[in-house]
Amino acid sequence: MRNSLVHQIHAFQQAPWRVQRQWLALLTLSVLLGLALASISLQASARATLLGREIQDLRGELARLERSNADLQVLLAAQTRVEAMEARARALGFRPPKPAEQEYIVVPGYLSSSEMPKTSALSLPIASLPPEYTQSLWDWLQERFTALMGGRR
Amino acid sequence: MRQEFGVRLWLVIGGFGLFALIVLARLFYIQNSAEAEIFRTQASLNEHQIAYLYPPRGEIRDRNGHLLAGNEITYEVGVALNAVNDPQTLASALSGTLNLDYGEVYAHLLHPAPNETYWMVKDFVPKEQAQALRAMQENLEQSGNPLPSLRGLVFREHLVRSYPEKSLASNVLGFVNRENRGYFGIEEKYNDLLAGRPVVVKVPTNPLQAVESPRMARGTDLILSLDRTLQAQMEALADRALEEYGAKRAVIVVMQPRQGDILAMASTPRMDLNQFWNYPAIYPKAADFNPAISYAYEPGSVIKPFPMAAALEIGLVTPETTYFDTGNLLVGGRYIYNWNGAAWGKQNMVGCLQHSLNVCLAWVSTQMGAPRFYEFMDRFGFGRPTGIDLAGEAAGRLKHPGDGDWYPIDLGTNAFGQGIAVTPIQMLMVASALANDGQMVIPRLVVAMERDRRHYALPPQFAGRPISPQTARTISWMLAVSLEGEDSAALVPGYRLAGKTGTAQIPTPFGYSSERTNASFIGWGPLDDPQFMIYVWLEEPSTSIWASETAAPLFAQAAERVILTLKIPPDAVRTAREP
Repeated sequence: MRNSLVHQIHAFQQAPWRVQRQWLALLTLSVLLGLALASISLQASARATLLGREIQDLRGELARLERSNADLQVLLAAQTRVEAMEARARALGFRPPKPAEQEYIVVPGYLSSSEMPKTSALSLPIASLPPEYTQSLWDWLQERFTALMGGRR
Repeated sequence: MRQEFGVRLWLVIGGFGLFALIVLARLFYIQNSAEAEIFRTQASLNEHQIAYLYPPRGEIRDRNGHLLAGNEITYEVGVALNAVNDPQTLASALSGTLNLDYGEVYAHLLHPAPNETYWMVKDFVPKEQAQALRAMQENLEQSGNPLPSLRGLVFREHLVRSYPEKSLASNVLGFVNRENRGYFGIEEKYNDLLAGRPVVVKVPTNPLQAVESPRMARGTDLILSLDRTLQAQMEALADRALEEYGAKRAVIVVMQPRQGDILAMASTPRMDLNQFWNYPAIYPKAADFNPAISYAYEPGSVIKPFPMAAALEIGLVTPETTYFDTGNLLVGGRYIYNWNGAAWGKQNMVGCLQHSLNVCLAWVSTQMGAPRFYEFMDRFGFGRPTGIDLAGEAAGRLKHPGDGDWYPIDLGTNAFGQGIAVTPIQMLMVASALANDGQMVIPRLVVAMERDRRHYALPPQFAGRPISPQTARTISWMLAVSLEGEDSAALVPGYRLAGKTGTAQIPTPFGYSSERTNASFIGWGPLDDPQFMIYVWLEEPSTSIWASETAAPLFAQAAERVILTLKIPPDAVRTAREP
């Protein structure tokens, strides 16, 4: 064992280029590793940059669409404003009714709109997020624990 | 050979090492040189851009969801001065489209201020003009020729308040100026809610540092109690009344007595809210914007039901109580006369209201005595703002014994509407006690809010119960009988209504004018199930000074439209339907 080690040291002393080759290989490996890390970093940076730009663009697009929606709502309201609707109705031959021309029919159990409670004037859909998006970790643990306890019962 | 190679290798390594050291030394020198600080400052200045993000202002809708106030796109047109390559064409296009002076624009493009890189030429440019400019710019770019060119022209899109119904309900809505601040009406009262919260954001110019958008609270949407169809009809009636009765001003307010919902609030004049800058020319005084809430005046006889209700409440009189009218009554050392100066002889309390006898009501108030009379007037809320959710409400005026300007005769005159100032909205709130079984409701415009896709319904609010349900029903019945007994022009066939006229002489520095009056009418119905209340006020009608000939028929016309819009069946149909 000892002889073997002595032989190896001797062999390296006889051929110092072996040591140089080892250093060179180590250096090359380091450079390659550095290059690999640099390329990974560059790729990640480039990807982050692209995504950042994309987010900015999407944010701008969202704002633009919101503005457009608001604008279209106003446009629609302007097209259907009272004055315009009345003018259109008159042009089509309609006129406001007189009380005597109104006929009421008794419908047992019917509640007129004025008798019904007013709720939302706009029928807005209320978005419901799944609990994963609203629950805290503590809430989730509690829920799991309750479920577990409930299951045991 | 190997040694030679080794020397060369070390030379190369040494050379590269030296080069790297030089580069590092240079970097170190640049980083710490005197100029480095300037570059660092410049870099830090350009590192972020400060952006003020204004959330879209909340929308205002009527009770049926019709948009009354929204937001439309407008443009800021500017020039990126460094990019301009054809100032002549640019100046020509800008001046021609935006109605600017060519010379000034051209001069600015040629000689911008030092360090000026962007010139905001004009803001709030309408869509049509901005689109025309943009089309010109695109056409020139597509032509492929370097000149003529509109390079450097920049468009920034943003929102501005818009009122699609133009002048409809303008007196209720108010308006928003260019700085996004509300003036008058709903826009002022709810400015903070509608405007939302502007957010200041530091936007990094480095896309690597793209930050998440800040959560910007959008302005709250408001849903009003107004019915835009009814509002339009009442406004048309008010406009017509100005011509028909030669009045200076007309006000018609429609309210639901149970919840205090204002269904319509029409007054003259009105303005196109999209041109808010015309406001000073249309309204000389701030109170003129919405006289229904801001203009306090002596109402005259429309006030008579309230002292009568107080007298009924304390048991001083009943509808059958008789009173012998001699045509005058001495109160506080001065005589009070009836509207026609005549003596009406023996009258019961219904007759007092039916013939609108000043002397009789002065007798009632003096019999009550000042403490109890003013206690009830306070309970009804005279002299205090109603608390309606509109900016600029006036309180009116009710003098009390002990006030410097109160005289004993006021006890008599206040009972028939002289020496007291009220607003139309105040009269409606007070009268809601009569129409709503003694419970007084606070008038309101906003019935619901919507924010973050959540709907918040606002409950009605009440202002006390100054009289009992029994008294309220009795006084309503007395008023209905009075109208029918007089064959009033306020009656609507098929419906039993309660109401009272008021012809008030206008006070002048030389006493009350006999030719200039305020004609008013307050009424509600149907009597057994009041679903609407209407207040009509005509200022100085010239065809007749009497409310019975001006305000009363106008009330009937308004009531007809309300009945049709609310689809209230005639009494005969309703009573047949009920079990």
